[in-house]
Amino acid sequence: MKIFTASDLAVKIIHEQEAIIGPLAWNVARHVSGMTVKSKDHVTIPTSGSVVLASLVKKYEGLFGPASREVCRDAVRSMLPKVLASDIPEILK
Amino acid sequence: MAISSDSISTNDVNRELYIRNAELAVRNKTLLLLHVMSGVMARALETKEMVHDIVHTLRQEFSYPFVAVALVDEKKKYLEWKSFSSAEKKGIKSVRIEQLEPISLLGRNNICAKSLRTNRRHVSRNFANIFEGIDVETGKQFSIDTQLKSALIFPLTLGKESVGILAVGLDRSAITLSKHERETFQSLLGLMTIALQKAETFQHLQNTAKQLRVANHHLQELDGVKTEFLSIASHQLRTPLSVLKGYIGMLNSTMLGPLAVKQKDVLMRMDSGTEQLIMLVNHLLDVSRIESNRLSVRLEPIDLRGVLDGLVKFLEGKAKEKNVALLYTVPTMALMVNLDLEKVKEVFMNLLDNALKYTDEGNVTVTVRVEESNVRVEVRDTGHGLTHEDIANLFQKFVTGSASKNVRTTTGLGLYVVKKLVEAMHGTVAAESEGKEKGSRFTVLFPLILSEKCDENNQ
Repeated sequence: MKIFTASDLAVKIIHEQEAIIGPLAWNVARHVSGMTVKSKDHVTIPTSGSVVLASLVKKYEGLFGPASREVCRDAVRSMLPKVLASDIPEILK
Repeated sequence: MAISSDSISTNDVNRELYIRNAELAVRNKTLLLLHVMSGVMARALETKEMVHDIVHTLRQEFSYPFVAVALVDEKKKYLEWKSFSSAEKKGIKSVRIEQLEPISLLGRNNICAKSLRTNRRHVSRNFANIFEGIDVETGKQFSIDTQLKSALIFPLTLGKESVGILAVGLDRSAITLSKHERETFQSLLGLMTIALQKAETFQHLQNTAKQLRVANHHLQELDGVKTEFLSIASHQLRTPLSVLKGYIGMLNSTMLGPLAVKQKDVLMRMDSGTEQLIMLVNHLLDVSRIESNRLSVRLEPIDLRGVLDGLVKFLEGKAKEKNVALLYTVPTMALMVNLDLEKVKEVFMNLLDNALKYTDEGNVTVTVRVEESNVRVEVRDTGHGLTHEDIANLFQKFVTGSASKNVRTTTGLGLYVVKKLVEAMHGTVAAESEGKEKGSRFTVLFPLILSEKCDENNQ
């Protein structure tokens, strides 16, 4: 069975945000430290997956409020059972 | 202009717009999925195929551990699994649809039967409550392989009647359904019931078509038996009738002694009755040959004039008896046509006999002409005529024209036989009339094989 990584979760979150706010979602992601956006399907998080994901969610939340946090949680909910626990930040649980 | 401290900030507007956009995004995603689903449902006609496509699409979209559909059987006693799609572990499925047994609708412990009975959504955390026929170990292994945590059972209803269930396995708690999932299920169930109704109608149509095919085959067999019966019966009748006709002829010719006037009158009636019976039997035999595709024609070059000359001469006496003039116009040249001698005699005998039968006064005219590469024979009378309705049905079996009440001897088969015989000899026949009591005209066309240009001569 496929195991999802923090990068997979980040891609899913950004895509979901893009459906709501458009390309701005990628601009926001590019400003998250610890994460490199190479293309629309290629995002790398070399270390501290959980921390980087939390800061991505907080970036959106800071700009668009708690509703955007819920969108992030909804986006990855079905993936969580297949992600290492150490890669899941508290904010997404 | 100053902005008051309680006015809405840009940030608030931004957040409000985000919420609206998020709702629209969910709706958009749901509509997109439903669009795909409705496409699947529109394409598939049979229940099994349609259900399979829905189950497969749904499981792929949300990566569910399993999605399955069961429908109530015809006797309304069991829920039968129509489709089951599950996640695979290294390409191997631990549970296959063949393993799933039908669920009794009265089953107390089964969550699917319960959902159907109560017509409400149910949640189960126990695989054994959903499926039957799966042993505990297999169920456990399946749950581990697919990380199954819970399952949602939705009833499918057509009007007020529950027709089946949709079972969806989740790798999390059922309360964690996203808005997209909730909206999808809400709309999908409605779509599925419409699609099931369509599939049911299609199934009914298929069954009816099958029944009609069987009935049609049966009717064809019966028709064959009837034709066979007609053929046998007609042959059995013709021999004694020929004997009868012969003896009547002998009596009429006074070979067996002189006859009194009253006896002659009775004998004439007997002769007419016998002739009518022979005609009927002959027509029935023709019909049985036509309908059993046994009508064979032996075409050979024949001079049509010779045939018509003989027939006109033969019927002159009958015309004289009725006080009807029988006029005949024919070219002097030979009119060579590929015909079956016996069949062509039968055709013109029928047409001329009819013309005389339906004409009480005036004349019957037979005109033969060459028209391009055809020979055209026209039998025109000044008799009772035909209505438009008569003409439309004239060449059908057992159909008699409106003028048939004026004659005693009619079978309703003569013109049907004429048409079939003419067509078998590559000709055509048509009827015309200006209306009731305005006479009628029958035209027969045959392709010529040899013609000489000659003036027409009255004979």
